[in-house]
Amino acid sequence: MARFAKGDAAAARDLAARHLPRILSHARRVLGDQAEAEGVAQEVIMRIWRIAPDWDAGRAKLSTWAHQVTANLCIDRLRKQTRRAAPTLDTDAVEQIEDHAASVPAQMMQRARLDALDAALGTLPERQRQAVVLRHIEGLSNGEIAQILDITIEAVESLTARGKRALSAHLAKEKEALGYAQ
Amino acid sequence: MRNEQADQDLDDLFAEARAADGPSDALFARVLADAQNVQSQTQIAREGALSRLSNLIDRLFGGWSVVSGAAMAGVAGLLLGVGLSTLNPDMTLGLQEASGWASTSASDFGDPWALADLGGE
Repeated sequence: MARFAKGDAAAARDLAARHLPRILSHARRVLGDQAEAEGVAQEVIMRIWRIAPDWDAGRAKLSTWAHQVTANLCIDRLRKQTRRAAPTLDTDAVEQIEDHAASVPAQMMQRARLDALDAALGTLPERQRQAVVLRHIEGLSNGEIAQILDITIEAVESLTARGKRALSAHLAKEKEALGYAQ
Repeated sequence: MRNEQADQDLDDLFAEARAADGPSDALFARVLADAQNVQSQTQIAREGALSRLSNLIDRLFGGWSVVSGAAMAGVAGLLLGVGLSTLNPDMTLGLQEASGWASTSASDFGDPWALADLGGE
């Protein structure tokens, strides 16, 4: 951050390479929309650039701060507009893919599974969704998530456990279509 | 057993999501363009502040050359004083004697407490 504040262009590339992928992933899984997520990620990184001259490295971890800003911007967007219709899984299309499994690239099946995950995440309440994404996809600790969402560690544990159960139940209906063993 | 399998499937799905494609080159380029803008704005602001300070010095003291000349003269004077007293302490004593300062004793000023006593009564 100090290097960036002094005008070092390479520092900007290093910071973007380190933080952009995780911020984008966080926003994409919470918002369920690539374009919206890119807008949020760009805004979060812009805030990193702006805060750089005043950044106190001893005060907080930059990644935790960035996830906190991401979570807040996602909540703002979700509240401003009704979440776009969650991408529903077209099970017929997936079955069609399965029928021609030998010729269909594995990426298409993976895309279908990730769309199903987005759809299932979209059914969770906002906080539960953030907690599940941060814990199970971003791999953050419960302590970090508590700090980001401004809740207790016990609340994080409860949100992630309930969220995971709800996701399992939701995805169980589409298990076969998604290519999971029965 | 069924629950364990469901948990495993979900964990596999999370792992797939984690490994899913990263930011596009276009997004990366947009973010770096933002960085460049912010860095150049900060640079402009820094240069602006320096230029305002320079103008102020011009107006008050006649420019950087006058200020730096005065500073140099101050430093030279200090060095000269320190150098002289180190090399030839008698010289500074001689100067004091010439001005009559060295022969002056505290008694020449009278009793400083006398006035204080008067005031106290």
